[in-house]
Amino acid sequence: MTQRQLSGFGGHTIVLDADGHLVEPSDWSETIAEEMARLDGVALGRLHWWLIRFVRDHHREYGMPPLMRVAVSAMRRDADVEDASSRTLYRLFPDGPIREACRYGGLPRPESCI
Amino acid sequence: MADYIALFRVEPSPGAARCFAEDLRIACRGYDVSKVFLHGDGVEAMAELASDAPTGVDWLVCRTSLERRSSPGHSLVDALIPPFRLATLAAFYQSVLSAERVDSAGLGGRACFTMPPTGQTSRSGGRLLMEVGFAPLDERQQRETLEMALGAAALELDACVLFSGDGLAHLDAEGARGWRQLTDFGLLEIYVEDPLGRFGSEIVTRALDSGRAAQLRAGAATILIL
Repeated sequence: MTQRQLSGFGGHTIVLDADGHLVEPSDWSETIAEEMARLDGVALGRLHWWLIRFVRDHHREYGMPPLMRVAVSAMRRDADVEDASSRTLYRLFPDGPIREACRYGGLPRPESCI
Repeated sequence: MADYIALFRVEPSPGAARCFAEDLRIACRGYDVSKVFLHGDGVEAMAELASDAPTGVDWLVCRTSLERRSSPGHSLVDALIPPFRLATLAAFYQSVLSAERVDSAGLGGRACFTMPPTGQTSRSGGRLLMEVGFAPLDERQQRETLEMALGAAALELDACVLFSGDGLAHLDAEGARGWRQLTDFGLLEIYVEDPLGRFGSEIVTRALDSGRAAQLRAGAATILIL
């Protein structure tokens, strides 16, 4: 397994696992998420952040990330977006919206194949 | 698409897999396409089933269930035993929708469902009932049972979950947390067979007496015993 390290966070080194998830979830902060995204060439905008926070809240409440359909319906309700759909979410994170929101949100890689 | 599909979630025990393989030989006769999907603890019976696997059956293993039981860093393909291949819950449910016969061998028992002889060509119009009648031994068993329900919810199937007997233990305290998303977001209805009306949970469930639970089962197009 290849781990990566991010440094420069007040002298603290952040370790990412082979899939790019934080090895220590308590290291997470919005600054670290921004840096992880920057290294991936992704600029996190308002909707990215809405999804990351929604996924984090869902994980805290239910112990797992949401289904895509749950995220889409919450986006329709709460995110002030005209075309709220799974396509919108895939435009944000083409490699998998929920999985990537977990990664940038400091959560473990989703286990399920659903 | 499958004409016949069986779900196998039974933890390995002496003879269980062989019994299943023997029944399968009879069950899949007359069907052009037969599939078996191993999920959860059923994955651990792969070796025993492989040694006695009827031919002409497409043997599928849930990717996530196998991943959980494999050594970290090892390829999942290496963990597969021929003739098994990797599949997902979504693929399983797609097969259920088109199958003429659906069998399940779950931790809470077994069920067999065949298409009603009314010219109906798809199960997609009928309700899928997932019945949970066993208490989970550990967190993984609890999680994998929940994932069966989440898989149906992800595909927006007309489905519901019925907890009965020892299965009510899934909804105790911390275990209820994951199940609660199904009702909070209106994904699936959850029923509990609670003849004495004693069950209490933080989840919004519909309590049924034994008669109404029987009606729910009778009205289902397919029952999966988880």
